[in-house]
Amino acid sequence: MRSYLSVIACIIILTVLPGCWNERELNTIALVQAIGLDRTQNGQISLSLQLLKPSEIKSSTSENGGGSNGVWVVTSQGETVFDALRNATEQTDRRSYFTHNRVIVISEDIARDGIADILDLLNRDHELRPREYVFITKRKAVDILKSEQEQEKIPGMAIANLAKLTQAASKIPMIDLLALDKNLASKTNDSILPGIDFSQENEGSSTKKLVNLSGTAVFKKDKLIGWFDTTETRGTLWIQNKVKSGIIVVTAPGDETKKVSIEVIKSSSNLVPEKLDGQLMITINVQVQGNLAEQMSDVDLAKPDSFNELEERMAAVIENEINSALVKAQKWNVDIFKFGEEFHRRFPEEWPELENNWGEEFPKIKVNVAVDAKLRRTGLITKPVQLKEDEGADGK
Amino acid sequence: MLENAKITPRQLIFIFVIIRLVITVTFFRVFDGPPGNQDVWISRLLSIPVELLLSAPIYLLWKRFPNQSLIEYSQTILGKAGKLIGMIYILYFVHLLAVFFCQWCSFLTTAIMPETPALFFLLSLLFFAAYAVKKGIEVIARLAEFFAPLVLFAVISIFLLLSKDMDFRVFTPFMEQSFFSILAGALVISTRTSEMLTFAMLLPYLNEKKTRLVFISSYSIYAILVALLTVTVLTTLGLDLVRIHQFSYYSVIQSVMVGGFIERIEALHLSVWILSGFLRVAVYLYLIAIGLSQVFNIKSYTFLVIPTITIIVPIALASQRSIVELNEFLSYKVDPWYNLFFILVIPAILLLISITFRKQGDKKV
Repeated sequence: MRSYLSVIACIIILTVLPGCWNERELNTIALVQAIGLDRTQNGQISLSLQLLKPSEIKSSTSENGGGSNGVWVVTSQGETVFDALRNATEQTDRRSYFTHNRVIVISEDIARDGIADILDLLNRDHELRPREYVFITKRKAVDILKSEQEQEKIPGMAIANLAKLTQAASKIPMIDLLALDKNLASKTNDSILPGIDFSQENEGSSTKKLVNLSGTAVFKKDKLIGWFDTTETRGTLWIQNKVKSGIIVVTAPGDETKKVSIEVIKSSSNLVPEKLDGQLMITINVQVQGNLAEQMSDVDLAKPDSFNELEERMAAVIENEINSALVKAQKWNVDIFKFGEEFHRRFPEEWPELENNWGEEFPKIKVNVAVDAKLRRTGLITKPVQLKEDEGADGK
Repeated sequence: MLENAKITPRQLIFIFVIIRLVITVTFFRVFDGPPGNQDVWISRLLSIPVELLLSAPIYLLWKRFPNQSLIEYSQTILGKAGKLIGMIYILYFVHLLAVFFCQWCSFLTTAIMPETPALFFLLSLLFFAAYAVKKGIEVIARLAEFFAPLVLFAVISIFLLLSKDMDFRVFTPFMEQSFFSILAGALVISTRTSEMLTFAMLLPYLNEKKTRLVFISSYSIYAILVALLTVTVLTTLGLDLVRIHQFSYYSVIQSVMVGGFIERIEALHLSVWILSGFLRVAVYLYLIAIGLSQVFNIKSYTFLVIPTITIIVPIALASQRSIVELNEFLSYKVDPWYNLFFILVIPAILLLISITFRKQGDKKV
């Protein structure tokens, strides 16, 4: 009798335990890979979802690259972001599922009005994650989602990979939703976001849109106020201690028309805030180590003198990049470098007052830049293949 | 009547740590109360001595009545009026359990399974908890011993997984506000520890009389674990973002991303939440049932378990109007004062009366 009872109990428990109320099978959900946000003419939100097409992904091995896209872009309108999102169900037969979303693309016209309002849902909803990459586009976000990438079937994945690869050149920032939220929540910080664009390529009768990253959008609080080019962006990243790698191009000592590239292998920066007679000052110390990665000139650079000269030029380039970013940021009055936090740490007593009129204080901060550049190694060869002879023996 | 059971000091420590930690792991409101800035971890550590002070009446009462629980010795001290005190405590436990159910349901329905009705969560949890309670405190204590390594593993591994995203500069400036506000923070944190009443109820079951060790190590282990959680949350989210997150520790776990493949590990958190939540429910259900049997001098408490559940479920469902109200109740302006009455005021009065009228319990073990 007892064993019968336990068998029955097991059956009851087994039917209850594995089932969740909202279980969804994989073939009833549509995996969202990227979200695009635009504004329509009449002020509504236009939301685009890049949905995975499982059947296309499966057959990817037999086909060759482009042609059929692995995704389907659905666009819907609504009064709010969530409204638009639910309106998308009028077009999709499967329910959108957001946990695997990697990319959020926001159009510039929304960014000019402020992004905090539309980010609310993305933070509040339980399916979205704080580690999605956020991009700003000068075009329509829906067009970015519809553009292609030659190597990946899923453009959303490709864009996320692009964001991760920006570290190689450090000319575009990599910002995820968490980092953006931190800046938006802070009273003094302002944010930067990577820009995204596409180029059109004619291939016979059809045109292909190929996605690429371009520029850096600069935000005053949550409103876009301008764009940084690659020089200014890297200047910002030096200050933020975010440069992991990158190429610094300097002119070759001894042959001013030719260029030399130096690969950054290690870099760190720290900010030292000071206060002199009420004048706020901050010193930016940047330590960089680099390798001589390429020389497009035929002079012998593998000498201590040339190395010193190269180090100086490298430091000058970095200083120039930092200054270009600083000038623009102070002109626009955007604290994208988190100077405010540094002053908060150093001067906790004065901080409440400083915080209240940080808008007036920030443009007046005097900034000193000190770059310590070191050149370490030369790669597998020490001198160029075709070395120029020293004593005027240019007989060729 | 006391159950004829024995638990070891380690089991009691684990019971306390787990049922206290379970709330913190999910409803972790780092900045609720002073000092409200990066020095909150100091408050967490300072709360150890403050909690020891707050539990002094409970400890001294136990010294006078080593073989009686809170509800029993209140009857020894006050006679018939002690039954009233006992009932008040039972209602307090019922309310604590109902509040926990609100938290339980609001977390699960907000973050994990928004479409599942709250009643389903409650019933599936209570069904098994009732079974555990019927088996007695020894089973529950062994359960705590079994869960503790899992919980510790989860907390520490999440700290390690997030260490690459941590920004320890958030802890400067050190001691931005006065030391007083940090101490006030420690007071608020300590008064939330209503779980110290489980000591008052369960100490008679201890097989070794290492009570001081139990108090000190319970509070220390808990405070150190929570300081670790505080560090994890603050360094990952930053001060400003922590203020707006309802389930800040859960949000932190959502942002774990290591090497592109260790991500989406909320299941780890969920398992901690459900295992330790189960333990908390079982312990409180046990306290209510055994308390009722002690007030009404009933030989066995087991048949009281199911009726208790039938009372608690409607209370839990009726009291969860909205999460905003729950937050308001749990905020540092309401909850500490409410708790303080039960963990300090009533035991202190009982102690005073017992000293004045020279009431002593049976010292035999």
